Amino acid sequence: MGNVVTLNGETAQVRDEIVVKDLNLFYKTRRKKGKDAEPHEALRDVNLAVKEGEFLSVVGPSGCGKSTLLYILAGLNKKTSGEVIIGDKQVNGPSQDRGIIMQAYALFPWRSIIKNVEFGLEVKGTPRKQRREIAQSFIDLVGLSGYENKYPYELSGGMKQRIAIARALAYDPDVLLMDEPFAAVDEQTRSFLHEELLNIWEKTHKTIVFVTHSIDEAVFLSDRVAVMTPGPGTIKEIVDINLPRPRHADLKTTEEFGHFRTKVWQLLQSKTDRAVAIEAGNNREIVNEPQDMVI
Amino acid sequence: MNKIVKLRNSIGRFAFNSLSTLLLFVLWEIASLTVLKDNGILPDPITIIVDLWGVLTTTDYITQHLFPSVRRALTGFALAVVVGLFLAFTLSTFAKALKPAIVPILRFFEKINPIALFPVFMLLLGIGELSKVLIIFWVVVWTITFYAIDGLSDVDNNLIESAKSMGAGKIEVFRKVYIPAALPIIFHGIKFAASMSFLFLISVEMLSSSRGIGWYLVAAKNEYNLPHLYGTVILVAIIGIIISEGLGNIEKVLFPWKQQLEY
Amino acid sequence: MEENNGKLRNKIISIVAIVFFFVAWFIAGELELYDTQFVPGLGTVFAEAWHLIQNGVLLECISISVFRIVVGLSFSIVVGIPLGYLLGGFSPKFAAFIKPLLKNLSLVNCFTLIPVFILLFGIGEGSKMGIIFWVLVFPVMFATIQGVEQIDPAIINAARSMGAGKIKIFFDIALPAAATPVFAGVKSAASLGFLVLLSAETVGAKSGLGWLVFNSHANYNVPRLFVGILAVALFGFVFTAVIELAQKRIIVWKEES
Repeated sequence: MGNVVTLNGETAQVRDEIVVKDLNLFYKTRRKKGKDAEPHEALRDVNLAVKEGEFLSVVGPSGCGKSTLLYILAGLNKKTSGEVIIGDKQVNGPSQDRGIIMQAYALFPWRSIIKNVEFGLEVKGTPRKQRREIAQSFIDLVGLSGYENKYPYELSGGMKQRIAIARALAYDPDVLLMDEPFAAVDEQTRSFLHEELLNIWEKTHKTIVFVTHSIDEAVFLSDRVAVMTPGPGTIKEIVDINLPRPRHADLKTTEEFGHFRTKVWQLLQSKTDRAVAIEAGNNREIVNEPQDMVI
Repeated sequence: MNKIVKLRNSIGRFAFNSLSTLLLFVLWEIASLTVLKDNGILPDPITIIVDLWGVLTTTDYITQHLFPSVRRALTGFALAVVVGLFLAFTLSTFAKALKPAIVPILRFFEKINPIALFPVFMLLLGIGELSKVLIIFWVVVWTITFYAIDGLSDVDNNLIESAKSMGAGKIEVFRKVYIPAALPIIFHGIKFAASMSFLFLISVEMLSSSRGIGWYLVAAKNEYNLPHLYGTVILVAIIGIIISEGLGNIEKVLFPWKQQLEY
Repeated sequence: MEENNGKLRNKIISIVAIVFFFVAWFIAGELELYDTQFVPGLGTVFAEAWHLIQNGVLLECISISVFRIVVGLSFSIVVGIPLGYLLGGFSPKFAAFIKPLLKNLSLVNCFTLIPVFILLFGIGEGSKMGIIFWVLVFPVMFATIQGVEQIDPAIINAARSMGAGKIKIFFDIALPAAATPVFAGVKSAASLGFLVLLSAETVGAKSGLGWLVFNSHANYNVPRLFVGILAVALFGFVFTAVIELAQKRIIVWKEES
């Protein structure tokens, strides 16, 4: 549990929405030459507490396990040991308490936009008229009114991602998990989507865990940034981003922003971490070069 | 060394693939001896195969039925290959200008239902060998023609241009680039046509009064001779598989650089 | 634009050629330009067709054949898609084990099975619908397997994350994903299915288009034979068109690779 001081100077109790304790993940991989599967330690002793309504980013180089961690939070991947508690309930599988937004949008190509957004509501059992109204409201929220009856193939990448967000929000999950959602989108659209996302977050007060390998993005969007290091994946440190809200694009040019950006960057720069990353990468046929990290 | 490994792998794969079919036979046999005993509709596989073996080795089945059938199919098929390739070839080279006019007509012919056409052939040509051979020819020739046209039109122009740039003359380009490039698709069409001709052969034979596998099938059904009936079904299936697999393997050997489309 | 003009032009040429063919046939028949004993003039054929419409025979034959194909096709879809889904979406090991058997079964000459089905189900509707089912169920199954195997795992994850259970995933994800390959498979197998139906109707049936053709031949009723032939041609054309129409109506989306 954590304390937070509100604007009127009162101290209020803010509960932890997400609690991850001593999370470990082993999975079997097949190495190049040998025939036997060797257990590969993907995550080790991950501990994390995310407050209700908080925006937390997880950054790290490719292969550090941040997406894996996110999928465990979503309940789509299994863990080997440890506890994952969301909203005071153990996570055993996917549930409507959470929504996930993926880099590949994953919109259903055979459904119209509004029927895509309605999907979670269908599962929930919401009656048809209400479903339509709720879905419509979220399409409006992400700024795509008028596109209800179009099909995903008619939309651009940025638009698809906004619909993915609308779809994940429509059934009112408490937690939003986002896996590098803007990585496939161009710079300008990404800037625009950042502001949109923050708008939506401020309106809906969801708890957001946002995975990215862009330090800029993490610092700009979040209340805190968790830095993950690979080999095996673990959370090295969590940086508090004490920048005022609401945040606008010009914030990125300020000195304060640069201060936090440098802090996170330095955490990712440790020489031993880099060497470990390269080795872990070699064993899995990926080599991580330092320039993978966006600065 | 590599070839031995490849051979071992193919045998291994063949064995694995045959497992489920063998399992089916085993289960069928067990069921026939217990649950389905004496059901009068489906005999057990061992009886069928023993009977089939007996028929093949002791009676004149092979000469009276198998050979005539295969001969019909082969003749129709061979004719179709010759005519089809000739048509495709002509339309793709000398008579290129005629292609847009003639192809729709050929497509129309392709669509005419052979089962409806067969009686007409029989009326015009009698019920002897000719009508059967000709209907098989008809069924298959359009497929070959269109596959060949496809193959010949599909030849990558870049290949032709590079050959020309290396000094090859028209005839050489034709022999060494055009034909080899088109050959895989043409062969694929021929392979497909071979299976089709054998497939369709049975259908026409079931309607004719001379000998042949199709005729034998109907006769067995009318006599309620179940082992003969199922035995022939299995025999035809095996022949069909041999044809398509055999040609498939020839295709792999002749054109190792072409990827195959499988189910 | 250019391509469309070319295609349109080809279509027009085909239609004109066919019309010309029929007109020529008609005229040649009326003017007795050839011996009409084995190939009657078109006029005679039309007259016989009218006669058959009036006594209901033509309509009965067409509707029975339609009935058999539709039922056989429906069964093959109702059985083939779930089976394909189970094989493609779940244990890949079991699927790899059983696929060769299915492939071998699909290669069994379907014409040889016509007498078998007649023996098993009699001369009634069962044998015809059964053989059509047999011919079509394999392409449907294989197409579904292919469609399901190609589903983007991110889509399945998205659906699961929204709480979708196995049943919803089958109806809302697997079925639409299989739609495109299944239509392709049905289209290519439909012509064979139609041939097999006709063949079955020539060998063991008392009604239907195949019966019409062969019965006329057996009775040496040549004009009626040609009515049958034309009816078969028309039927084939309409059947393909209906499938195309259904495909256009159902698959309103575009898959992205």
